[in-house]
Amino acid sequence: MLELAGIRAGYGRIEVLHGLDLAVREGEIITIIGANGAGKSTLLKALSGVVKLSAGSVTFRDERIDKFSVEQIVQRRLVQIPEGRQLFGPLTVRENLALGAYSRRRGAVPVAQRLRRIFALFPRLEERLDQQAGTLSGGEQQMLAIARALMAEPLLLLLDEPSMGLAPLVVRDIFAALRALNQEGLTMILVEQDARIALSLAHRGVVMERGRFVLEDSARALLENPEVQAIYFGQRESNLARREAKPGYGELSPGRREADRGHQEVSHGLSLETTWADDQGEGA
Amino acid sequence: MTFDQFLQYIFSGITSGSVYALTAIGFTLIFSATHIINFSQGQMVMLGGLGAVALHRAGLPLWACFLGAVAAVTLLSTGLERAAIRPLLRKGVLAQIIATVGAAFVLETAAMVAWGREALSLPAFSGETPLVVGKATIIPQTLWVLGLTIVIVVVLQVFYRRSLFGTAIRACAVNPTAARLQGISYQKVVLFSFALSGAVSAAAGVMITPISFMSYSSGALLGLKGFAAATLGGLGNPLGAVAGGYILGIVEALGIGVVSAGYKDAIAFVILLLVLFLRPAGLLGARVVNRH
Repeated sequence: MLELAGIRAGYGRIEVLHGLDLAVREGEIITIIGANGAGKSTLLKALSGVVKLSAGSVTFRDERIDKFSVEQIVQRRLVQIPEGRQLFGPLTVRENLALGAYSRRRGAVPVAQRLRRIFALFPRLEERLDQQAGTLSGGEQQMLAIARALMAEPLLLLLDEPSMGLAPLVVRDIFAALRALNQEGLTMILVEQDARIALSLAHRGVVMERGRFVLEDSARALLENPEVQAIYFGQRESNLARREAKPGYGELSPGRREADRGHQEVSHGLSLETTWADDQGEGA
Repeated sequence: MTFDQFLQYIFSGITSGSVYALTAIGFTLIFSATHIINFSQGQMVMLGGLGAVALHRAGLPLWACFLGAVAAVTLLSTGLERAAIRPLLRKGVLAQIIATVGAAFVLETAAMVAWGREALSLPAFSGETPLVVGKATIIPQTLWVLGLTIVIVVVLQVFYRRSLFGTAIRACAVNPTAARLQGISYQKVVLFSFALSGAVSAAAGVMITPISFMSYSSGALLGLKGFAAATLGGLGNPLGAVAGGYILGIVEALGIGVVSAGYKDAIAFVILLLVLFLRPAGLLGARVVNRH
């Protein structure tokens, strides 16, 4: 469905993505995990056309899209939910949803029917239709961000850190909704710093380090991979535990230090354990 | 000051306030989409007025002069965006603002060449016979100015609040990148904002010309007062721009009565300075509600 061949991109003279190849199959969830600054968000921006490629190609449903504008790519139904949700805060929930459908005002399904589907998925949004998006809780904002993207009738959804800044229980709800959407056939690329929860949802995972893919495998295999566990599941320990000096800290991949810093910034800390345990309980 | 005098000053304040309000809306429309302060806004007002004068000399009826001048300035404003603003997109907002300053000089000089130096006028839209209110009088053109201003403000509000494209423009003002990710063309929004801003300013220019005359150099002062009004109301807020315009117009008119006509223009700038010192976000400054 989506093929990346040797893509390079960056900001000005600084190259962030150093030649990436990837193929995404229809119906799968592929997750890209990696430390802060590995280039994950830049990759999604490059796919959406926000960041232009300096080399390589992106093919979406047998069409080269890497020279397209951001608007043209959305019209092809490759839709991104950007990092930090990027809602239109002063606008109402209703207006945010209406704008989500901007690229597909006359789509396969009428806008009103799309709304009804979304309210079935996120009933709380219906209660808050006339509220300013900026006044919603973090979880509701993430629901709205997903809902807004669904209004564009995506064939491929790009999600940048949907768990960012959310309480574990909320993250669980959001990921349950994503799983339900995938079961209806929606293909997704999920970028996450919280590798554990991302891999529990995804079919396949790619590990990204400093603008390169270093490992690609099934999500299950990556979850069990000791190296991945050691480097990217650091958040399983509490912040307190991590602050204590641990032997062998520097022996691991150089990405680790960055990874740890990233997790602290997100500051899920101890609480994430609950999420993970709950997810396992559901048989994820 | 007697009550009748007071009333007279208020009428006069409402007339010029309407023009400041529309000019301020012109600033606001462009500012909220692009963060550019268009320093050629006043020249758009001036060209609206002089354009209508030219069409009237050509023998067109007044309503056709009005529409023709508005259409011409709308085109001119989109031309300005294409020729001077879009090529500077990558250079940043400051370069674009400087380009509008340049455009102001070009337009003013061109107007001087085309229309000469003297102040020109148009006939009033519906006669000159003043209406008497108490002991004060009000000329019919004042009612035209006020009525048309209300119509324009209401239409704009409905457009921005109710239509999808209007909502898309507001979304662009909040977060251009997120708006593009919804498939909204930022370039289209910017172009449209310049067009609308030109149209509103030109309408103000045509309406005021029968009352206060218009010359090639009138634009600078009108632009600065519109800017003061927009700042007073909180740049980026169209209703604030309207409020700012009327407050400025009325305070200025009363200032003439209380102090002296000689200080008329100074009042606008005293208000502008006070706002910038005391309340830089303006009276109705855009409050952004966002919970993180």
